[in-house]
Amino acid sequence: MYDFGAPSPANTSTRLPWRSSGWAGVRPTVWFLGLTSLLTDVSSEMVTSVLPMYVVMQLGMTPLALGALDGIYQGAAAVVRTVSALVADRLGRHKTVAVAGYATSALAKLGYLAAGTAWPALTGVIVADRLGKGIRTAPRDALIAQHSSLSHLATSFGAHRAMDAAGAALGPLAAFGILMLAPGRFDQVFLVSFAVAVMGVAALVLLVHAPVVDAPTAPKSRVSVALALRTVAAPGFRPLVIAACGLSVASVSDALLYLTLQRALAFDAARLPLLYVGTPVCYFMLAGPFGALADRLGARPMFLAGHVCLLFVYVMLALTPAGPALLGACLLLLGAYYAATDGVLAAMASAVLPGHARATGLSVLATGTSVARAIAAVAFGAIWTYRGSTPALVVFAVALLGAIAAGRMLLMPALGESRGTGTETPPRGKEP
Amino acid sequence: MGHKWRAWAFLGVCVVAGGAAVGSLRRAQHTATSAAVAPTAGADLSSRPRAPFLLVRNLVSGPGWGHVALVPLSVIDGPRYVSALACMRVHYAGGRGLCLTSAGPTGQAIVFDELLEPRHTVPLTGAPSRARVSRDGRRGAVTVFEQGHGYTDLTFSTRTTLLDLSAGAVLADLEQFRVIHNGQPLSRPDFNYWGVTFADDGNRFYATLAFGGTPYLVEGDVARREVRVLISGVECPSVSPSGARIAFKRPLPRAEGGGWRLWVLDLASKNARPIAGETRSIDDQVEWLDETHILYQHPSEDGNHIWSVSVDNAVSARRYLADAWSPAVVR
Repeated sequence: MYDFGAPSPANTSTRLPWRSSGWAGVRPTVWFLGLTSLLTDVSSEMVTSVLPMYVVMQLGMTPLALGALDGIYQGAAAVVRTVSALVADRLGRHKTVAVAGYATSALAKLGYLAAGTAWPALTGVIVADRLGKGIRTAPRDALIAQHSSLSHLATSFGAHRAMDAAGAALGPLAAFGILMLAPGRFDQVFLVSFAVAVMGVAALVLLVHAPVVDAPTAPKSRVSVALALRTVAAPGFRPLVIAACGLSVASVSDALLYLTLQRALAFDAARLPLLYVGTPVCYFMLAGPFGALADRLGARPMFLAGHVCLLFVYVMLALTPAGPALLGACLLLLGAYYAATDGVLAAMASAVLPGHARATGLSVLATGTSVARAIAAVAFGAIWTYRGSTPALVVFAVALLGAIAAGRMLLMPALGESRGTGTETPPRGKEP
Repeated sequence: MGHKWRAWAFLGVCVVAGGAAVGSLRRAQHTATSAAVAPTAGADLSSRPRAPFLLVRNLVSGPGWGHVALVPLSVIDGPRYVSALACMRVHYAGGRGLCLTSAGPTGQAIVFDELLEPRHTVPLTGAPSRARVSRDGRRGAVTVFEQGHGYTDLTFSTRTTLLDLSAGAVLADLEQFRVIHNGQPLSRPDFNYWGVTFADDGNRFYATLAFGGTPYLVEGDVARREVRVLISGVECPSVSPSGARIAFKRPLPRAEGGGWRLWVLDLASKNARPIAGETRSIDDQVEWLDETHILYQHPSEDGNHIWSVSVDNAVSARRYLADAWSPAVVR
C-alpha cells in the first residue's frame, strides 16, 4: 500500500479510540476510490439537477421527452454493465475499465456544451453520460473489494457509499449556486461539471494504485458468458442473488414512495425539497456506521434489518395520518434502508465471489436486482391505479415480509453463522 | 515513496481544472452583473409603448437578454422597450403579469403590474413551464415540471397551480379538483395537469389532463372546483379572443418520430383539424394574435424566434419576431 505522506484516515484514527473499530480498517485506496466517486457524483448531479430546467428554458422543449429515453437507457445499461465487467475480469484490468467509464462520463459533460440546442445530439450525450456509469460501477466495486480486508469489507463499502452520497447531495447545491451567480448560464454549469469530472478521473488514475490481477485462475480461454453463468451458480453466491432479487421485487422505488408521501401531505409544496435532500443526507450519515456495524455483527442480519426499515415505511404510510413526524420518520428510515443494504449487498457479494469473476458477479447481481425493481414499480403502479395507494402498500408490505423471511432462511440457514461477512475467503489481488 | 509525484500531479490537475472553472465563472458572473443593470438606451425604446403591443421575453444578446420587453404591434421589427424584469416564461393580461424565474432551488413566480413592477412573489416547486393570466388580470395559472428522485430515473411529472393575482396567493392545486369523465367522477393516481387557458370570465378555464398515457382536454370551473373531460389528444390549449376556438398541440405517435402538430378546435361543432401552414413539430402553448392568427416560440438552428401562422389558410408560417420568446398580445 502506498502512502502519499498525507495523514490518511487510517493513520489519524489510531489516535481516536472511538473510531478504531471502524475507519481504521479502510485502506487509502478505498478512500481514494471514494474521492473519485464523490467528485464524479458532484459533477453528474450538477447536470442532472439542472437538466429539466435547461431542456425547458433553453431548448423550449418538454422534459417529458426525456422520460422516453429511460427505457432505452435501462436496457442498454444492463448490456454495457455486464460486458464491461466481463472484460475487466478477463483482462484482470478493473482500473483500466473503470477509468474508461469515468472518462466517458467526463467527456459527455463537454458534449452538453457542444450539443447546444440540437435535440438529437443532446439525447446522444445523455445516453453516453449514463452508459459511462454502467461501464464503471462493477469494476469499481471489484476494486474496493480487492483493496479491503475481509474483516472490513462492509466498512470499506460503507465509507465509499458515504462519500458517493455526499457528492450526490453537494452536486445540486453547486449547480444552483452557479445559476444564482450567473443566471441563465447553463454553459457554466456544464463547464464546472466537466472540470470536477476531470478531477475525479485524475483521482482514479493518479491516486488509486491497482496492480493488474494475475489471473491464473481465470484462463483466457474461458468463454465469457459461460463464466457469467458459472459465477451465478457458485455455491455462496446463488442464494444471495435469489434473496436480493426476491427482496427487490417487493421494494417500491423512492420516486413512487415520494409520490405517495406528497399526496399524503396534501400538496404542501414548501416541504417538497426536503424529500430530495432528506434521504441522501441520512444515507450519507448512516452508510459508514452501518458498514462498520455489518462487519462486527454480520452483513446478512444488517441487510435484512435494512429491509425491515423499508417495511416500517410501508406500514407507516398505510396506517399513520399525514404530518411532519411521518415525513421525518420516513426519510430517516429510507436513508437507513439504503445505508444498510446498498454497500452491504456489494460487500456480501464480494466476499463470496472469486477474485477473477468478482466484477462479473457484481454486474449480474446489479442487473438482477434492477430488473426486479422495475417489475416492482410496474406492479405497484398497477395496484395503485386500480385499487388505491393503501392496498398497494399493504400488498407490498406482505410481499416484503415474506421476502425477508425467505431471505433469512436463504442467507442465515443456521444460527451462529451470522458473524463475519461470508463463508469463503476470496482470492485477492496483490497488495504491497 | 516513489509515487509521491502522483499526489502532486493530482493536486496539479485540481489546481488547473479548478482555476479554469473559477476563471470562466468570474467572467460569466461579470457579464451577468452588467446584464442586471437596468435597461440601456441605444436602440431600445425609452418609455413603455401604448397598446396594442407584444410583451415577450427578450433574447437579443446583450444586457437585456432574458428580460421582459414590449414591442409595439405597429412596428414589430422596430426598437423594443426592455424592462428590468428577468423571466424564464412570462404572460400578461388585464394589467397583471406573471413572470416565472428560476431563482432559488425551485424557482418562483413574480406577479407584476402594468408598470412592470413586482407586486408579489410565490415560490414554485419545479422548473417553470407554462404561465397564463386571465383576461381580467384576476387569476393566473402556472405549470412546473417536477423531477422524480434524481439518482436513477429520468421521469418527470407536472404540477399546475391556480393563483389569485390580486392577493399573490395560491388558489388551488388542480389535482385537488373533482374530475368528471363520461358523467362519472374519476380518480386516478397518474393524473397530470398542464397548460391552463382561461375563458373570458376568468372562472371557466381549459387545460390538459393526462392519465393512462393519454392527454385530454378538460373544461374547468374554479368556483365549483371541478373539471370535465371533453376530448382526447389535446395538449396546451389556448382559447381564441372570441372564445369560439381552441388552438392546441396534438402529440404524434412514437412511430412517426414523436413531437407535436398544431391543431385548431371549433368549440361549438367539436370539429378539430390540423393547421396546414405549420408542419414542424411545435412545443409551445400558443398565443392568439387575432381571431385568425396564432403566435408561438420555436427554437431553430438560427436562434429562438416567435413565429406566426394563419389557422384558416394554408399559408406557410413566417417568422414574426426574431430573438424573442413567450409572447403575450396586449390589445
